[in-house]
Amino acid sequence: MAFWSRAVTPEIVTMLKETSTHVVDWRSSNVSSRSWGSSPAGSTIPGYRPPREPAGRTWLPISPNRFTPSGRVATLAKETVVEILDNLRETIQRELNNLELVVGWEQGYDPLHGTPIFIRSPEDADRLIWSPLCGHNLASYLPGLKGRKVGILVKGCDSRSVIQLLQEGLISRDEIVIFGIPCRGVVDLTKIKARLNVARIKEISFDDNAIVVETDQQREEILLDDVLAAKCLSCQYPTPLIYDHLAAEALPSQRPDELLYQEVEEVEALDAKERMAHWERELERCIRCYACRNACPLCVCQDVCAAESRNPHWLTQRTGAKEKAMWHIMHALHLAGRCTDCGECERACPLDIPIQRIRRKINKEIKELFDYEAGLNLEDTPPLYTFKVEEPTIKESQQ
Amino acid sequence: MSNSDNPFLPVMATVTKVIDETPTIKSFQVILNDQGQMKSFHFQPGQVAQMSIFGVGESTFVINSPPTRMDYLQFSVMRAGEVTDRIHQLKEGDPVGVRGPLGNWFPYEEMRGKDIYFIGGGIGMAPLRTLLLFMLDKRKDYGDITLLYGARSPEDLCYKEELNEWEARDDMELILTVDREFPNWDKRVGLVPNVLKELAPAPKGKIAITCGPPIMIRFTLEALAELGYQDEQVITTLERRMKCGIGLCGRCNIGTKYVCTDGPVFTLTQLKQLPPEL
Amino acid sequence: MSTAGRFLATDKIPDLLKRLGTQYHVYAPVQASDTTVLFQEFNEEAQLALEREATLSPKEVFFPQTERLLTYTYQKDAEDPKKSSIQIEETLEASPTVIFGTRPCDVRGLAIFDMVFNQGQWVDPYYRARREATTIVTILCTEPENTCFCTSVDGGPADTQGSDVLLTPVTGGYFAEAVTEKGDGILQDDAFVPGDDKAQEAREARDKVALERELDLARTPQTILKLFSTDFWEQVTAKCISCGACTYVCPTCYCFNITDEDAGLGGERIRTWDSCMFYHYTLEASGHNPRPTKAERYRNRVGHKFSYHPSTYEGTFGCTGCGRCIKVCPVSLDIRQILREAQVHE
Repeated sequence: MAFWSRAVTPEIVTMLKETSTHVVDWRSSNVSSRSWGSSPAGSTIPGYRPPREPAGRTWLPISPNRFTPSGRVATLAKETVVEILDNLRETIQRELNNLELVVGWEQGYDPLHGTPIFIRSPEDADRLIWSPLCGHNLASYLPGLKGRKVGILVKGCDSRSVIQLLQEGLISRDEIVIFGIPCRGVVDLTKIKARLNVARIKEISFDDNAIVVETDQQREEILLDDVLAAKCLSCQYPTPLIYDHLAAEALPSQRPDELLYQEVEEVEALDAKERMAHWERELERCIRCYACRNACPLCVCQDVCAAESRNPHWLTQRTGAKEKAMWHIMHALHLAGRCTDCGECERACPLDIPIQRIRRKINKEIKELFDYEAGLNLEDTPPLYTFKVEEPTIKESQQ
Repeated sequence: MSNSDNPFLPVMATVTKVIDETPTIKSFQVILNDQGQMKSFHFQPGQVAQMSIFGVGESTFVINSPPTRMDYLQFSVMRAGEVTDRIHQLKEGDPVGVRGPLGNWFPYEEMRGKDIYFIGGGIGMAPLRTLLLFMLDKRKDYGDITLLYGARSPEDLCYKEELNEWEARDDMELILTVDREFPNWDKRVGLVPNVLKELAPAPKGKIAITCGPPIMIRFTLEALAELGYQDEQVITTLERRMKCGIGLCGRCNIGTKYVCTDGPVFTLTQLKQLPPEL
Repeated sequence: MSTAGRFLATDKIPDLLKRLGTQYHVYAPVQASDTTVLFQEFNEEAQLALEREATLSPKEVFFPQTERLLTYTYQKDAEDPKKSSIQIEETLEASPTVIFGTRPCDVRGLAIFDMVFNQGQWVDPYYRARREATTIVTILCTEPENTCFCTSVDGGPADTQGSDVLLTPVTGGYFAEAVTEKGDGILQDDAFVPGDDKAQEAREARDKVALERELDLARTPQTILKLFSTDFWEQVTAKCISCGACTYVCPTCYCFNITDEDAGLGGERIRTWDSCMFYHYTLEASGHNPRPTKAERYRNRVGHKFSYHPSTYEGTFGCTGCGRCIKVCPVSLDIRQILREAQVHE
């Protein structure tokens, strides 16, 4: 601006400049999908100055977290995994010319934890891992990256979330490059924690059907099927349903679909009193941190969530299992016909509460009522987004 | 403090008068129910209080009346959210809670003998009114007093009756402006920062105090800098979402400072030491 | 320490807690599910879990997730229903409490609460009442976890500050020492027998445990300010999902919200945990939000813990290095990595 003077520093002016132009009425329905992504392409984030990095580089290299030098992961040192990773790295490095970043997985703070990585350079791609530790559904990041050209690695279940997001118009197909990886399952860390103390993991390795966990106290070989996530034990879509590149040969489903609602049926088998007692016991320790909500790829309205709204005032801030149950019921209902059963909600829960089955129960109802499962077909419209005078699967509404 | 044992407890008060200032702003005069508490309520110009609407919540407002006029406490409230909506429905005789005084105040002692230049926009006039009335009540302590006050339209000017009084006074100067032409408006037209530049008050011996919407403050600060005002000569007040008002709940911080206890009054010197997070 | 060290056998602990329960509310870490340990009121069915760090810190005992500040009742005037008055009632209560089985990092968290809530111009009377009514029995750590970094933030596995009784793990139980008079009172219970023979073992256990200081954070407060306006924060928080789990499990996070919850013609004003990671934390009624994206919010979180708090409180970091945030983070964001990354720019 022409009339700046030296007394008012550029920082102050930039700061003040932004306050007037970034007033967002969060109550309007045009609120951008998630505030924790970046602002729409081209705009700066309020309070920021352009990065003062050397020309040509606009990002900072994040060094790998080798915090526990002694911990290391012997990834599946078999040809298939090595091949998968090589394929992936090569393809990613090629695609990076047209993409701002690619979201994948890398080794986390200890051998037992994977963590998402935002690959921005060919060197970053060398840190990719592929193993049953890659449980995170990276599709959760896509709504926040809307407007930017990005790549994403998906497993079969993750690809369903991508399809659902595309169905709902929350992301654009031409902005994403999808790297699909057929998957045989990811571990549920809660199941491992239930068996042994993971506080001092030294090494993790995988066999064809087992995971070997070595801590400072013990070394245990556990059948993978015993510690895989429940969703993996009934997985019908091991191969991504949508992709631009497939990192390995497609895998057929090997799991029985009868198991799909097993966890739901376990609760349904309880009588009303037992069921109430079950949920009171489990939800008592919920701390309403909303990790389940924020980890969910479909919860794009998390910043204006109805659960925290004062007007209308659905939930109070009071504690108590019933109030917390109300939150979970609300979440499940808002996901009806949209939930792709990725299980991030349960994986994210810091108190290890088995909440995925609440969402899955609604999925079961949707399947029975509308013969519909979310995230399978780009051309679908979620049943609760449509109105039909005659619902083919609801006999009561048929004349 | 009206309740120092438990700073979360409001004292009960009653609304004694409601004044419609503009279509979106009302002023409320309240009196603490306990006469003793009302008599011993000491505050400084610039301090704020939390008005409690039980069942809805609390909101922070500057105590709009000066400590030199303690018949009542006045708060000017712009309707913006849940609590202010409910406040606007209050009538005479309705009960409210008051927690205060909180925060810091205008450094009026240091301003003695100086010429004071108030620059207000819209609801930003509220804290300025407190200090202005305080200074008028102690007139000889201060030099020239000027108030430049602007709003979007003549309707949006607050304290309309008092503006007439202030205009009539010969011990202060009043300049009013609205953003654009309006029928029946024969005074100045123009955005406050632009009018400020037209008037170009010389910085020597002056203190500039400004309050208003962020965009107005931004341009005003630029204009003041252009006119040669040093950082120590410029004072403003900041706004933040507040809950406890006593520096405990954590949310109103800018860097190491809490707007509720270390503010809301900040000099430009202090402002520049804070991380740029407005 | 007035009383000489005593010995407490592990199998005597349930009885000790039961007896203490007749005079105090007793909180201890119990197995709340297969994989979670929470500080809960001790009862006979509870399965004690003293070996490891609890999933949540015990701050809930002093700073409940939901706490009633006052109740209010609207009373309509019988003569003129349009008029009403309000009665408010303070709801402050604290009864004698014992927390058994905290860790040094948990107690350090309380020290940080004390700095903010229990001193200075405004004191939180609810917190103070609970704090003064509680006796703290701490178990010193002999096996730090691989997420522990207490020594990097001026703490340590054998840090005694803030505790009333210290328990050092020895064969068959714990070597117990009183640090304060309150602690002395606890040691009078029959469960504590003379323990001179265990003193040596206890000393050795304390000396043996070593947690190397991995981070040197001396210049970090300045570095964080230096990085304020760069895109450092956007880069390091790319994988954060801005949930709030880290703040809720943290022993030092004390941010709270105050809301009024109606119930008919009355209701309660309650204080609840809030998180700087939520969008609405700083959302103003005008719609303006000084921290609209997670990058700014995380910058404030790290800034507060490692820059603003130490600057205000004589160098004390707002972090105890307990590592819970790393463990519960759904994307395994590691705050140590962020601090190390910041140090590159010192």
